[in-house]
Amino acid sequence: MTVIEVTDDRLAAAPAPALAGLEADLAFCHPAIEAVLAVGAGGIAVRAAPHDEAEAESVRREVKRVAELSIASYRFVPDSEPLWTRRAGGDSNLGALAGFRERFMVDLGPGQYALIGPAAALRSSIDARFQDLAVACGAEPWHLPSIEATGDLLPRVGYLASHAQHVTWGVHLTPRFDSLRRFAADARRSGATAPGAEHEVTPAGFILEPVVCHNVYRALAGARLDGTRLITALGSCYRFEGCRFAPLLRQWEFSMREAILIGPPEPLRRLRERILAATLEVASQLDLGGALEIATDPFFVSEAGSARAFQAMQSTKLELRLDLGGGAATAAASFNLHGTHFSEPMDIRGPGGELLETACVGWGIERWMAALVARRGPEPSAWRL
Amino acid sequence: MSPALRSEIRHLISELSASSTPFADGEDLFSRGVLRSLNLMELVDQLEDRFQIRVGHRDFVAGRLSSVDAIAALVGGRP
Repeated sequence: MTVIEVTDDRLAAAPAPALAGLEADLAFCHPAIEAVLAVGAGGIAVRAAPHDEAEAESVRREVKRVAELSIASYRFVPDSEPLWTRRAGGDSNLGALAGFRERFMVDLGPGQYALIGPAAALRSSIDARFQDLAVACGAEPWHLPSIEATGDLLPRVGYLASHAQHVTWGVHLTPRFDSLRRFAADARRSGATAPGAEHEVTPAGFILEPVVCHNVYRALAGARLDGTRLITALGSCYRFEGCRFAPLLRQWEFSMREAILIGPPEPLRRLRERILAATLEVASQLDLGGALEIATDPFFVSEAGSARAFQAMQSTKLELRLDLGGGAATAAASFNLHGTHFSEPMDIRGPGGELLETACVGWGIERWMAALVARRGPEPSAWRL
Repeated sequence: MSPALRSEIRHLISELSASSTPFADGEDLFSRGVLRSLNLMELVDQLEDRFQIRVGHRDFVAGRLSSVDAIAALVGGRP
C-alpha cells in the first residue's frame, strides 16, 4: 500500500464545489487507487496499490490529468449560499452509523448490503413517507423494471457519454448449445464465476437502471398528454462508485423513490416547488438538519464542462443535503428540471402537439436512513417517524 | 450592434449546432433546441478565441449566452 500525493496550483484557487467534485472524479481515475484520502487546496492524497514504480507514476499522472479536467469543469459553478437551511434540535453523530452497520447490515460485496429486521422496516417506513407525499401531490404509483434497454433514450440524451463511469452493463451467454455446455462444464470443473475470453457472450442490450425516471419517459414515448402528469415509483438503482462505496451513503445497489413530472413548463415548476416544500417539511418533522443547495450531476469528468455549466446557469438541479454530524452531510433528495431534454427525444407532447417538459424529484431512501440514524442513534426505539 | 458581428455569431452558432431549426436573433438558442447543453463550453471557447473576451460566471447567470442578441451585446460590450 502506498500513499501518493500530488500537488497542483489550480487546487488553491478551486471553489468548494470543485474540490468536492474532484474527490468523486478521482474514484474513477486509476484501478490501483483504493481510496481518496484528502483533496484540498494543499494537494491530493490517494491510497493506492501499484505493482511497481512505473504504475505509481501512472497513478500520479492520471490524478493530475483528472484534477485539471475536473477543476476546469467547475469554472462556471459558483460556490453559492444555500437556498434553505435548518438546524436540528440536537447534534448528529456520524459514529452512530458504525453501530447501525454492525447490528443491522451485512456486507454482501462491494456496495451491496443486506438490511436486517428493524433496518429493513425503517427503509420501508421512509419510502412509505415519500410515496404518501407524492400521492398527496397527485401522483399515480407505478412499478418499473430495474433494467433499461440501451437502444432508445440513452443514446439520444447522451447518457452513456456523460455518466459512463457509473454504468453497469448486462451480458448473457450466447444461446448456442456448445457454447453453453462449455461454460457449464467450466463452472462445474474449475468453479468459473463469469464468462471469460474463451466463452461466447452477447451484450444483454440493457444496463442496470441508474435512475428511476428514464423508464417512465420510455414508457410514454410518442404520448400525447392532457395537462400535467405526476408518477411515482420506488426503484432499485445501480451506480458503480469506483473506490468510494460506503454503506447507506454510496451503494452499488440502492433504493430511490422518484416523483416524475411531465407537463407544460409553468404547472411543472409549480408542482416541483410543492413537492420541494413538502420534502423540506418532512426534514423538519423528523428534526433533521440540512441545507438546500444548487447542485450539478456527477457527470463523467472529460465530458462534464458544458453539462455542468448549463445546469449551474439554469439552476436546474437543487439538492437537499442532510447533516450527518462532524461537518459531514449527504445529498438525500434532488429536485431536477429537465426542460425538453427527455421529452424531445421521446416525443412526449401536449394535446396541441407542443413539446412538454419533464422534471423529477429523487429521494435516496438509504441516505434518509443514514441521516435519521446519525441524528437519533442506532437504537430502533428512537427511529419512530 | 454591427450586422457583421451578428452575422459572425450566427455563423458560429450554425457551426456548433446539429439542428437545422431556424432561429431569430432574439430567440433562446437552448430552449429552441438550436444548441444543446453539451455545446455550451464549445460556445464559450469559440467566443473567447474569436473575440478575445473572457466569459465569466455572471454572464451565464444573466443569460448573456442565450441568444444571438445577447451574445452580440456581450461581445460588443467587452473591451
